[in-house]
Amino acid sequence: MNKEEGAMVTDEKLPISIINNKAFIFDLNVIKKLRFLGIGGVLSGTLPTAPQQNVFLGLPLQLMIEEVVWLVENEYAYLVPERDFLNDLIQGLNNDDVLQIQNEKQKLMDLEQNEKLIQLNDKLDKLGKNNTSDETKLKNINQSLSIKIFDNSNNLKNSEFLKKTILQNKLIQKNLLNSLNYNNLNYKIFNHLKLKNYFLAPGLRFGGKFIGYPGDPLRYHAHLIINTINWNQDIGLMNIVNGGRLATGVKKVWLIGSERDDDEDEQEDEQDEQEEKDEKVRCFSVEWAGFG
Amino acid sequence: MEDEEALLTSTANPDTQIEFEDEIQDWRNLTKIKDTSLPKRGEKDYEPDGTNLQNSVLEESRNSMFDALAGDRSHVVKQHVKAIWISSQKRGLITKPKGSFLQTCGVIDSENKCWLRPEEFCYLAERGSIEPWFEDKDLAMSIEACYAYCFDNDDEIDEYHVYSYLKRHGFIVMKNEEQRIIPKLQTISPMKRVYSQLLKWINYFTLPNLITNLFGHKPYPFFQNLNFTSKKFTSYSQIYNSIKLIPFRSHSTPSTQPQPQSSSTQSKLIPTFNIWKPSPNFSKKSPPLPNFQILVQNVNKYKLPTLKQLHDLINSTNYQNKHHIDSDQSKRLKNGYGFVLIATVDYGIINIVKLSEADFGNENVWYVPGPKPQNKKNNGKNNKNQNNNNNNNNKDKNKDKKGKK
Repeated sequence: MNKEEGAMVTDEKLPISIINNKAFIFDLNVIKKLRFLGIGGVLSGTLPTAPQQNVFLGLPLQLMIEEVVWLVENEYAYLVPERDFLNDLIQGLNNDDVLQIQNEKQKLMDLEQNEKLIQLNDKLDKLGKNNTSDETKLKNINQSLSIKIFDNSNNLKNSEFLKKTILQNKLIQKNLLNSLNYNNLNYKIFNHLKLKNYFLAPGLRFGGKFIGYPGDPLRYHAHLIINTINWNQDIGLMNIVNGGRLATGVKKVWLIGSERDDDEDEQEDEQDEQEEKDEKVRCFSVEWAGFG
Repeated sequence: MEDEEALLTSTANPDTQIEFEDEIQDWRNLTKIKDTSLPKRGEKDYEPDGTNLQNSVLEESRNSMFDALAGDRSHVVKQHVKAIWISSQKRGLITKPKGSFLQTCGVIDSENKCWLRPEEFCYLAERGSIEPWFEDKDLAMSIEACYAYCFDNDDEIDEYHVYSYLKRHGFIVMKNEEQRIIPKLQTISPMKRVYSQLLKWINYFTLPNLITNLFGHKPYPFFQNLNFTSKKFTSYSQIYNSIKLIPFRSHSTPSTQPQPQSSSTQSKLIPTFNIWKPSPNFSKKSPPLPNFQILVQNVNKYKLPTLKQLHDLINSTNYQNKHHIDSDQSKRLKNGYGFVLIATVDYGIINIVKLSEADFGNENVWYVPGPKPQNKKNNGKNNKNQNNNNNNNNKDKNKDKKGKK
């Protein structure tokens, strides 16, 4: 997805919760918007409707640091220091606010109660057995009302306002981004492939830094197992065999990417500046030929 | 909690899902999961082809996913359990404990109140079994708030993900509480130190070691001739034993050589969680020895533990049948004399590796005795000393590395 399409999805910046240097999304609407930006993250919570399996997981969504940096650098998102934010949010609530929250909760439950009562009466009327009073029915219904646990704290008063002040505080944003302590080379390779419309995910399962998909992983198989390497670092013939065989064995290609060192820039000054910027990153793909 | 009960009573086989989890699945299959059978592997495409059909299928998958994610996290009033997060204790408090999760979670104190560890509190809230509650405000916590308040550092979040991953598989999981004991520095008495130095020197001057130490390589070529002319061999077994000159570390005799002091810079690793296979008779108050022990390590933060760390780690494990020795040699070599599971974590993606320590040096894999022993008289006399030459001073270790999934 290119930038213009992405911009249509996000008219305002999306909040990313930072907890102990890890990035999480607790809001389904944000997850949806990120998906359209080609940012998938990793769902890492228990799915409450199917809690006894590991194939389909639920909120929160965890983001790779490279994804976070990409979103912030491209001005799609901002960072929220989650614990400080919640401290301020909760401390800011007075007794009236708490009472109001409880009232709203009660209202929701009353609504559910009424709905269930109507349903029950309908059912009993049809059977012609509606002879108990509403009061005894309500007693049973009250026991079956649901107590909801919310994903996020967006419903609390001042949540929007507090997030806005965090967004506008450049110092907080800068410090938080720095605290993530990200590896610049990894980010450069991520960014390079992201610009080429690859959809990237953590690479643990195939022993790489990232895995690259040609589009949304919901629909497509991965094509790339990606590792980064320093410009002057020896790749090692054995590693070429390792990476190539492994990747080919799982129907993928092993990609190694690096960025040219700055000191070598001067030699190629003649090159067009724009081109140079793009050409600083080099990638090679390795495939097991199985020749002969 | 019905599903968990079902898992506790039936013997679930967690291995069946493993391959399935390796790829991101089509969420349209989720609806199938509810009729207890697992969904089939979804058919995926190679690459975008720009067709409307492909786009609409993708759209459908995305919507199934978003719908599933929007599902309510809740429990009914009848089963309502309120748990208060007490930050000073780093524990969740249930004043009126009830629910089947109590069978494997939490500690009940003398006042019949239940205390939940951070990972238990968060896990139960996430699956909708308890309502998490703030301590100082009469207000329910969100899942967001649970994550923000329960964990003090990034490692604890990784550990939590492994905890809930194992719980979702149906295992009973508890924190290995030893971890909270701060390791004390061992003080060695001066006499002991002199003694251990002495041992080191004695060791230095034993013949094979002396040669290794002085000439920097193994004694084998030097002594080849001497070895074969000075001794009488009556069987292949004796010959093989006499040329067993490469030092190896044996599991049966603990190392006598003092460990290098560099270990002070490396922190000691201890398994993070104890794991039990699901069992209906499990008692959390007096649990049996665990079936497995697991260490959680983030791949982006930690390197592979050093040999010494791994050795200490495997030594420190304690689980069912650890000291059972297989009578079958190939099994013995494969399973080793101790193992530990390492859960590697990469942004919530979990891969579990089994590391076990085998003892190839002591296993007679090179010689199968013939049907009838000849010349009983001399057998074993000459090579007795040779056998003991295989000192365990070198920390050569045979590791059987085996990726579990």
